[in-house]
Amino acid sequence: MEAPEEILWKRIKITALGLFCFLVVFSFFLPMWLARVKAQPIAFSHARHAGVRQISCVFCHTGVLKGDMAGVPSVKDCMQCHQVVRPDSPEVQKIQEHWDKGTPIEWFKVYNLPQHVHFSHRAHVSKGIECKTCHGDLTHMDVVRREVDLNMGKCVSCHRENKAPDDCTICHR
Amino acid sequence: MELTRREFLEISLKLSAIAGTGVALGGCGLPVQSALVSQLKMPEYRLPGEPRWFATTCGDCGAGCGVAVKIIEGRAKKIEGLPTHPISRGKVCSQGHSALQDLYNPDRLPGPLGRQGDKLAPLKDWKEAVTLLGKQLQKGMEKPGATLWVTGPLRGTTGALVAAIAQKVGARIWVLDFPGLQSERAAMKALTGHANLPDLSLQDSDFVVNFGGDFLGAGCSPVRDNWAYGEFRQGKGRNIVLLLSLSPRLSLTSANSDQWIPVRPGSEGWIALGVGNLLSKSKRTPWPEWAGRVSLKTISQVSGVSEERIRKLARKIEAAEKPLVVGGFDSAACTNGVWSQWVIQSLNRLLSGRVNACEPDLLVPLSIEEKIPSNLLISGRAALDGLKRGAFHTVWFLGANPLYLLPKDLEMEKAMEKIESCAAFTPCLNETAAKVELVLPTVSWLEEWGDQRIVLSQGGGLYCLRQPVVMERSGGKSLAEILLSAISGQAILKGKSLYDLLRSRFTTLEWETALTRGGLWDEAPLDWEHYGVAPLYPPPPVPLRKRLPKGLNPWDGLPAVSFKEARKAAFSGEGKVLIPYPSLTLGDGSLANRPWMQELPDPMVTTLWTHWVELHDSVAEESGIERGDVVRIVSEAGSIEAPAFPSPGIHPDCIAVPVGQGHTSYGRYAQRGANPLTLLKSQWQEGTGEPAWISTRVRIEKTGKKQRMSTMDHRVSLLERRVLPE
Repeated sequence: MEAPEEILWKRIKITALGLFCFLVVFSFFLPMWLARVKAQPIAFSHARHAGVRQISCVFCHTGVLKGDMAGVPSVKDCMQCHQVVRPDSPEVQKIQEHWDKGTPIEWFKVYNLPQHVHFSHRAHVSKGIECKTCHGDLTHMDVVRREVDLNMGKCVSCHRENKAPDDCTICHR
Repeated sequence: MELTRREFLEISLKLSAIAGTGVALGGCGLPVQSALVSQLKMPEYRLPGEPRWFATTCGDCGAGCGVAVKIIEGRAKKIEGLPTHPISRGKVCSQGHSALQDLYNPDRLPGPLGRQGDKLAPLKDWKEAVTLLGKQLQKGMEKPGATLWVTGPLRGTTGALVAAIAQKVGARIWVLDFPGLQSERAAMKALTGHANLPDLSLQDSDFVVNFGGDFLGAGCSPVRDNWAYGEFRQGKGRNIVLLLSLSPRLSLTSANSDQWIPVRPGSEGWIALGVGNLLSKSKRTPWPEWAGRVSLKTISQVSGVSEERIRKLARKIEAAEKPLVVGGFDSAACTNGVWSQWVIQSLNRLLSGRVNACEPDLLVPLSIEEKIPSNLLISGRAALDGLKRGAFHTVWFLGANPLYLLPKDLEMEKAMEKIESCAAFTPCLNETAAKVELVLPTVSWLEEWGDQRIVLSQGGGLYCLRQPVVMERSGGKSLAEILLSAISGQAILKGKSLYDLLRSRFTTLEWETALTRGGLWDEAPLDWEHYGVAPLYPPPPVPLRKRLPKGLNPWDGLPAVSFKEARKAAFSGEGKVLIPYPSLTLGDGSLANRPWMQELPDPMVTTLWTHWVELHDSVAEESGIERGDVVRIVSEAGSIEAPAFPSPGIHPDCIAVPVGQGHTSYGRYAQRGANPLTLLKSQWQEGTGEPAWISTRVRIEKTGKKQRMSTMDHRVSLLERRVLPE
């Protein structure tokens, strides 16, 4: 029969272990959770722009055809339409404020790869890979959430299915 | 069970540590969530994350190296040499590489400053600054000749603009440059009639004798000269070549020589004279008759080099097919510097029948119809005399920093008190700018238009164009723009900008070519008239004078001797001769606010972020000084402290301290170390009217302190180990 003190210590150790595991898991998933729910500085809706208005992805993300990074449109690009399109909307007025002050917009990056991974949008888009393959169907998303988990297994599977090179140095250089 | 307070605290601490470790481990290996910042305006050609390279010309010195600047999303990221450029040939020196740190320096002035009491405070805007500047200018114009502009080297169209405006407003210009090339220019003027610079055609020579120069280190075109040196050593069809250096200290060039002969400072010209005397007997080219009166014995005593060695040198030169002799700072900076350079170039003329000249630093008028008047430029001596007499009411400092460069006993700061109105044009607040009424921040060369016209020897040349590769990012403006704004009320160059002046010279095709290549050059001689330059080459022959030209006195230097008294007076005086040489990393001190240059180990001493004093091993041993011992260097003008670096690479009669550290203003990175120029007992150089930098004797005292020097070598003195015979 265990002494009461021994039982107490046992309980404390189990609690500590449980707390440790919880914190590891929590910290691991916290950024993913943030990626899903963290609000952007301006409530831009892909559903309205890409879905309802059917504006092409490439219209704003001009870098996909020519370079590695897709990029985001500049404040000027937004203002080109929104100086006449719904200028009274509170969210559009936030863009106007940025334009008047000459400050850029700091968006929260939802889809992000680790720094040890090299990815070229041009290489994929030029082969006909659609945007929604990796980014999900944004035409139905008001707020962009990371619905597709971009892990190495997914990348390698897709490369093999499409007979693309799967050498390590293609992505890790 | 009840917990005691101690047990409770123990458990809490352990749980906290576990929790913290858990968070840390959980956070590892995750993609870092970062902000995605949009541009404010993005041109269509600009891709996110994709570099674009723009050709321009480096503006850090007068060499005119073509560089390509890597721009990513409107920001300059890297500077590399342009592969097709005839000067840089795909390379760029450390100074050029580090120019990015001028652009991003946190100590750049955010806007113009005006004096309020004993402080400088930000002005409301540039409009106010230009109005104040215009008032200063107007006041100066009321009395012609009462305005002085102290500038750095004037180059290209910007220099021409400064000269043109100065002419119109009645200002005089003093070009203050360290180490400056005034001695070389004065010598070439006396020899050829043109104040150009001698051309270092190393690649065409098979035997080069270097009298005190450092063309591989602190020369006026280091990138090109290093290329030429590579061709000299390993070019196509090369056989055995030799480089021999005679100088008081082991410079980078001397270290790369096949032999270095330590000589007393100021005696290089004497040795060249002796060699010329020996060779003139077998050469057809005439040699000055008066030179023959100086005996080899005298020269040997003055220089400390044996007669046999000088004879051997003369024999080697005579045996060479294409010998070349060059001069430089160590010989040019003495009080007899002009004379030394004159003799050295005369020796070139004796050997090859001509003196090759080049012009990397050309000051030309704005158009070919105009001329630079001879009285526009004044010497330092005349400028300081005028300042002390109160002759100059308005003084502008265009990039020059005399309070740092000039010897203290010239009392420049006191002279500035007599100035009624003064302004400084500088990107960071240096010592001089800290004392003026009005400070106008200028921009980095990466942000402005400009050009340089470089004439190489025997007719070749190139036009180097500089274009802004980034938008102006601080509150500064280009010098040209500020000056043109200040004179906008006057009828001078009305409505023109520097861009207009540059653009107007070219056709569209030429302009586009210059923008994409970084300039224009061709096999055929350039149409210099087109660029507003009268052809300079080849320089017309000048009859050899029987008497020594005026202002070229060999006995104004070290030692103070006449030909008759040379034997007695060789290097009289107590103490060691101080050689304040331009630092290979910090230049004249203007690079001291670039941490990359501070971090760059000196190629010879391999130390960084500090200054030092080089002294001969035997001198150090005699005084019981070891590496790192802090010594006090004392002259009549003052004293500084420096860690000692005993070395066999310096003449025992000298000590050397690099210039560059010791700023009292100029930003957070520059205010360290000590400035050896404060030790100078000022002497004016005959023939140029500029300070003679190597002209002061000092003594060394131990302080008992020690400073650990970060060096990249682990040299043990070869003399200590008795490997080499003493």
